[in-house]
Amino acid sequence: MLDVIPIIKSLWRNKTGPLLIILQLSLTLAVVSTALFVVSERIAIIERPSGMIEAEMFKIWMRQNSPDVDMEQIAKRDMEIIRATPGVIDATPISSIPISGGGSSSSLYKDPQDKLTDFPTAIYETTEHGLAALGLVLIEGRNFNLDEINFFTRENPPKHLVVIITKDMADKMFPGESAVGKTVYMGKLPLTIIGIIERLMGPWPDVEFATSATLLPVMVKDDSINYLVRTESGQRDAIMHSLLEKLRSIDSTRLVGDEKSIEKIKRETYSSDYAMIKILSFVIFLLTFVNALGIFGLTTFWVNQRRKQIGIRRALGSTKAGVMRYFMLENVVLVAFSAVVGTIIAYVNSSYMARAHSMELLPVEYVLITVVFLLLVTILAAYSPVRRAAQISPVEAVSNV
Amino acid sequence: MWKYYLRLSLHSLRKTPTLSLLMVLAIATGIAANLTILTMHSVVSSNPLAHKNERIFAVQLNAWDPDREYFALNAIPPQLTYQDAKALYDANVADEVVVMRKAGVTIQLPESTEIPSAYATRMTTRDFFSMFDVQFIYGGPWSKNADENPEHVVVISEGMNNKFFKGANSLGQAILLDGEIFTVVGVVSEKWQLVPNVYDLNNLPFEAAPDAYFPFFFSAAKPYQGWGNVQSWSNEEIRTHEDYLQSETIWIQAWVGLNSAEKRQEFSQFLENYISTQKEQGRFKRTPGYQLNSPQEWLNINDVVPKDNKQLLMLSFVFLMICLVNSTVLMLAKFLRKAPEAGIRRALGASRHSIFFQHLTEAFIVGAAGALLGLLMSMGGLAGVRALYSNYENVAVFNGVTVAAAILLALVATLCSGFLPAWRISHAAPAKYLKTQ
Repeated sequence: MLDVIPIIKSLWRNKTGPLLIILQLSLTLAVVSTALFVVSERIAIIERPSGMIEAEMFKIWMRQNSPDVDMEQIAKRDMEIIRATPGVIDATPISSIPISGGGSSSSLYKDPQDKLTDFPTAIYETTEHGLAALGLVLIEGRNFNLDEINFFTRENPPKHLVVIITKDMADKMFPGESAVGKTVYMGKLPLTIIGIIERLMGPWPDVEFATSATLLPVMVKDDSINYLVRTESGQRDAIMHSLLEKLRSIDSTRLVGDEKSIEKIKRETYSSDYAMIKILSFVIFLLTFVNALGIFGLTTFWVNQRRKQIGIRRALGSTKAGVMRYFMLENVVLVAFSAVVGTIIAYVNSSYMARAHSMELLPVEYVLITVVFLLLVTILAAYSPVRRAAQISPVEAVSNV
Repeated sequence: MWKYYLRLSLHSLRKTPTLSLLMVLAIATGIAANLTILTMHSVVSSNPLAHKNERIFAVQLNAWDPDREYFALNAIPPQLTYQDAKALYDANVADEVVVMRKAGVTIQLPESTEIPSAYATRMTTRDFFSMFDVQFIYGGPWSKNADENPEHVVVISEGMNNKFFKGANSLGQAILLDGEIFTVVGVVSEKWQLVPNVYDLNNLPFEAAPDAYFPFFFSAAKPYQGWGNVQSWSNEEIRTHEDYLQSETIWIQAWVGLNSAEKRQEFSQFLENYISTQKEQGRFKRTPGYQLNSPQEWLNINDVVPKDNKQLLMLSFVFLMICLVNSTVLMLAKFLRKAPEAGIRRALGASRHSIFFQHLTEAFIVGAAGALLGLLMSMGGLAGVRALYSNYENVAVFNGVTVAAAILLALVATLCSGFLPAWRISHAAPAKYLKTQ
């Protein structure tokens, strides 16, 4: 440690190079620690559970082209076929797909007169098979009964419905008490809550009410419908394709398609988060590479420039290990200075982002991890030139360079 | 003189191939990353209708919930109800009126046995084609009559024309839209693609142009499948399609072309009158009652540039700076190592000035090589961006901005990374280096 003072003095004598390296390393520290933080945030966003058993599910979209068909009969017939397929655990018609980016939302009210206290929620129209098909966990109350499922036309809307809501929705509407049995309102339509599910996300993961969802036991008799299917593990893709063919062969005039696994839907919905993760990881990789090159080049240069000095040190009794320690310590001193400057830059940026874009402040562990990482990169990059320095023979002290 | 510098520089670079390569690589990496992000950003934040900023306007009408303001954008709904869109069209005040929506429609050839597919179509009035500079390869827009009493005419994209008619001139041919026979009157060139899609920024501002276009007022007869946003606040009972048309549901985008200041005045007056008559019927309780937005204003209100993009842009400049600093350090190391040479030149009578420019030339060669390599690498970068983002096919492509930026960056890179080392070497005392020889 006693070496540190003379090292700093000698760096200061030729300060342009070291100052530039410190600038480079500290900017790198700021960028890498911030990038690591953003990457970890995005991973957390993507990994939020949707409530569904995502890996084993897919959807198929169906649209009837002839105007005078009874959607209820068609959906029931298709469902029998799908559920009878070996490998299918369960299936349901549903109005829209969770975390798909497209769907319907509404506001629920505890008091139909009080228009200002509203509870926004995603709306899924589905059947008594909804819970099993999506793999949802019922934590209170009961599922829909078969006789509660209501296929209706727009001309004859239902007058009253039973609903199942998510726990988050229940906690918001009825904090501290059970929501089961309570009546809430969607416009003028009264809804009686019969069950609470642990978790289900709406179609839009980035909205404030992302975890508020309401299941209605209804199907509008429209011309199109989504089928959501859950299969045994490992059979998803095969069943998706064979079902597609089967459903098409029943009636070739209709449109059956837009088949997608929930995994694929999720990848599309979060595509900008995935892109950000990949871009930032690549940036971290490139910066590591560029810095390693810089340290390697500079150490090589310093060693070459000071061959004579090293020779003298060796002639005066310094060991090979001593020479190596000197040059390594020099790099460690540079990283230490950069750590201070880089942390300041990172936090100036982070506090600006926190104010301007209401992002979270950079947690300190990301800075610490990056400092250790940069130190390792520096030592590795400097290792080969420093080892060469140690090989310099004491004879060089007296010969002409 | 500069030829001599060039020869010296090349000689010097050849003497230290590894170091030279490291410098070029550092600059190239920085420039490639910067160009990739810059290109993406320049396209995402561009306005393809800038030349019409004074003449065309997105119409916002504020018939939203009296109890609370619209929850997004500028607190005014971005779309219109059917009754308001119809009134706007029927008034015939503006030079051009576009009312439109996105719909999913099955398209087939008559007698086709193929499995039908649904396509993204735009139901619109004919002024769409002139207002948004649509280029045709065959035919053109339909007539005004075809708008008012909707006729079964359709304009298809070049892609659809290739699919259904193998690229031949299909004017007058019949195709089925949702089972009804329509006559092709125009084919839109695949070159026509607004980036971003200023005319409809509701969902995907960078998606491909529609597959087909047909008269908007078919929406009055039947619902069609809406592929755009549909929003409502009123909880009215909607049982029939007629109820839907009369409801407060918003689902229509509207634009007007107003070619002169008088027209703009006249149109604003019309809207004010319209809103005051609607007020008597209990509608339009919010202020402002309307807003007209130029294409640029509309892009701003819809916040088309993602926040991630802005951050990446900043990051790419810091990244470039790190790479340049890195290259400067290496260059400094290299020049100082050659200091004895410069010392001899100085001793033999070369001025500081000429030493400086000799070294700057060397830095320039490194910078230019780095920029060139960076430009090549950024093509790879853009391919990567296209792979990462769905719907960015039209965004991550080279343009004039990229190339101009590459040249500018090469110059800046050279100056930044070469100036300091060249200055240091030209100000070193020659005697010190001569002594050690």
